[in-house]
Amino acid sequence: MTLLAVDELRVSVRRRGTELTVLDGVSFAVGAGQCLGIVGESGCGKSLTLRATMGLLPPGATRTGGDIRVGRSGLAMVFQDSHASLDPTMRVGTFLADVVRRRRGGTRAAARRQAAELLAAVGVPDPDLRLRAYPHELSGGTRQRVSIALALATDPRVLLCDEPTTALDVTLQAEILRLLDTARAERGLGVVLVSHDVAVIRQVADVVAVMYAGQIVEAGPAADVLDRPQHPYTRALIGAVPSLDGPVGPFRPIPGAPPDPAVYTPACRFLPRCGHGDAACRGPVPGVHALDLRHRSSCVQHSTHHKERT
Amino acid sequence: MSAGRLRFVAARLVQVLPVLTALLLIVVLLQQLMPGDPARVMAGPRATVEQVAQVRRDLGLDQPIFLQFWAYLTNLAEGDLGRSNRTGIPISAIVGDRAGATLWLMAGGLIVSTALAAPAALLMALRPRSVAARICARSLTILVNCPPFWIGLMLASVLALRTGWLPVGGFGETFGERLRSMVLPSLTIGLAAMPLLARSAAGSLRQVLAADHVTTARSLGITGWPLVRRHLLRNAMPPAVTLLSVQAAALLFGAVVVEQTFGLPGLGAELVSAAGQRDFPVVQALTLIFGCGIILINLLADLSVALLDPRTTWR
Amino acid sequence: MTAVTFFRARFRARRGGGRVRWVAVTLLALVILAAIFAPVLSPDDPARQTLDQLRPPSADHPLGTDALGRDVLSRMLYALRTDLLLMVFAAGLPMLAGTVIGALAGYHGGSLDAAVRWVADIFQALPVYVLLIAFVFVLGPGTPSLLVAFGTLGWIVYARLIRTEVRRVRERDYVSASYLLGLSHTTVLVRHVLPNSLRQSLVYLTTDMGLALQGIAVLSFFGLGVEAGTPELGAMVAEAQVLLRSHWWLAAFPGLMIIVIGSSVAALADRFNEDGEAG
Repeated sequence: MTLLAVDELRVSVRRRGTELTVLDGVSFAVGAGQCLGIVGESGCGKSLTLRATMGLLPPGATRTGGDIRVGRSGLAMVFQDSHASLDPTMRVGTFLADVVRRRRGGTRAAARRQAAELLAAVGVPDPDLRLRAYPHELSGGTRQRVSIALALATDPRVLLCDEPTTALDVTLQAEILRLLDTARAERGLGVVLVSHDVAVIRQVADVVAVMYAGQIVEAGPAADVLDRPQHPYTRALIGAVPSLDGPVGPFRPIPGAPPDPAVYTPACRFLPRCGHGDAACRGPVPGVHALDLRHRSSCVQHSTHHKERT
Repeated sequence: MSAGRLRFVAARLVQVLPVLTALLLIVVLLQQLMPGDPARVMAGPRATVEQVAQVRRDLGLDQPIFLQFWAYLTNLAEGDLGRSNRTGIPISAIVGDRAGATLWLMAGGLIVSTALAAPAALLMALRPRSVAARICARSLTILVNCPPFWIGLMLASVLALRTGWLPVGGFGETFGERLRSMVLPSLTIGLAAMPLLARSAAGSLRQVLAADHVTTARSLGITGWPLVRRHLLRNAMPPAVTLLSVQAAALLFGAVVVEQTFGLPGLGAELVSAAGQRDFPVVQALTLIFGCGIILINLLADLSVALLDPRTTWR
Repeated sequence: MTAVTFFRARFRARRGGGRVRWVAVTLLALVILAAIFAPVLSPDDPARQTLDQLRPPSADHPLGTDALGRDVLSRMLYALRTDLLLMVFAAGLPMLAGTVIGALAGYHGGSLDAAVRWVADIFQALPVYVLLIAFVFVLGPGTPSLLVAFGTLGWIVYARLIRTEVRRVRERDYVSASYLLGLSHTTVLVRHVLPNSLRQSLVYLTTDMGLALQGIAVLSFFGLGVEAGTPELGAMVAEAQVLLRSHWWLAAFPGLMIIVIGSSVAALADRFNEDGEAG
């Protein structure tokens, strides 16, 4: 069952008087109990995709096109930096009880009890004590658990996670990812998880969408995309991650930098950094969506190779 | 209060000492800056040589500067601010007599400027692109460049002279009269102080509005007035209070101007008239008092902001 | 930095103020021209007293005459000269002093820098406006003491700005490179460090001019500013205060002039600020 479908999302940002299209026809869907991982370098528009889906674009950015279907389900979001994303002047319990009460009504005391239950559910030890703490008094891991509890307090059907583990060390990273996975399985949540870290995506995602320069360039089941990548950018991205379980290769950062939104074209945007371009890459390349489970990429070279082989 | 907080308070109190010392030094040294012989100036133009010498001895002006400084300090410690040159009245008595009007005025100005600035700031921060906000911002640019005495005179011209609704000046005897007589001065000082206040408050609101934690609150479905009240104002208050205290000096200067314009018998009007009549001891004492007032306001603002912030546990 | 913070940092709300700015520039230019050509434009000698006192505006006296029978329009034109000049100097001198002090402190560092910072810290915590009255009182009314008072109290902001900038620029490679080539300290400071540091000071200068204008007008209103009799806008308002009931225009027009000058300068300051943000 599809809980969230985003179709041809376009977002533009105003910079010095000109409108720059920074998200260019992004389409994806997520079903109950499914985890979609969106991966890409910083600046590719993956965080903006989540913000646009949530309807919380930063000032200066506007949605110029596209369709977001959420059905009856609610959306909630978990942010990257739990230090900045929790109100510093409010005790954790006050905030959490506020959110619970807005959603479910009831007395203050009942909201407080539910807040404690929520904290316990996300694995915060000693929840009654933690409810009285201010965010700065908590450790990074606990803070991120609190963020997740806040999101869950709104009874969402889909959870949008923006780099939820980037600010944490590796051990905590694994714990938070496990927590998200449990929440997904137990509550039948749809999860959209955005990360620049292929290892994180590999750990939790069923479906993967690779974003580059405001577009999805490759999408499909996680195993297909990450193990048999079609797009040279995906290959480079995976190559740029030191891998422990795969064959040990040298760490190779991708040479060059992503293009500025001011010079986005219909041609392949990875061409300047790609080793194997020809005339076909300079023409319009096909758009890719992650609405179903077929493995596809926008690389024209790959599809021609593919045709030649078949 | 935790040990960290106590240490913070102590550290902030210690910071005041050099500033206070510098203020005292400047106030005492002002005399040295006066062109000509201070004793001659104070004795008056018709004084004989003997009288001038007498004045010099009386005031200790023949002593070395550090002894003068010490003498001033010891007198100060006993609550003795010296005597007026013109009238011979002890300055402490003058201050006691005149402080009331100034305090009334400051309170009135604070109320009016806050009442005017708060809605303007909310408008400019929350609906920055609206026509109303643009008009508001432009009017503030003009208002900030209006000399306070001119605002006062124009208000008086319309609301008092032409219509007779309000008294033009004076301080009133009964409580009701006093309230009525404070309307125009408070309005003037409020209008003069409001633009800077509104701008800085709008600035800190805008900053909070863009903060990640406000996005979090909005993502959790908290919008509208609850968002403003529970999350925006709480976080925008400390920087606004700090900015307000930084502008306390300007507010006090505004009070001086307004007292002079409306003939309010306050400390500021006394400072101006003493300066006009070259009454040095009064100017000296009032400079010291105003200076201490501002240092105190800044100190209180810093302490309250720091102590209200749950994150304060400095060093 | 995620994409979102990137765009937030890059995004600056553009103020659609082209027309307003144009009006401001025009007004300011008109005011300056009026001040320059005051002797030509004035219908009368601004100091000539006549028995034609307190006349309402007429063909002979477009803004009427004051209590001493002087032509108000002429006085206002000459007052523009006084106020514009004082405004420029009362804001410019502190900038000059602050730039020199800040540059020396920033460039040489050490105990000089520490001393400047200490003095600046203390001055920052002192009530500037009250000290302004006290200083002007001590030095006696008149233009020189006004400028000395503004200079003594106003240099700190500039010294801070320049000091920070100088220290920052000094760390950069090209300065140490030219230093190695054997240029003198002064040359390095003047040719390489200062031009990079001055932009911020200029932004603050435009703001400061408005404040200086107000300060001068207020002090003159108190009778502590310019010498008695000098045409000055704040003093003109003060002279008109007792006549407010019958001759409101005598107070209104000089005040409006102050607002026009101050607001136009402020609009220009906004322009500088925006350029700064864009560049």
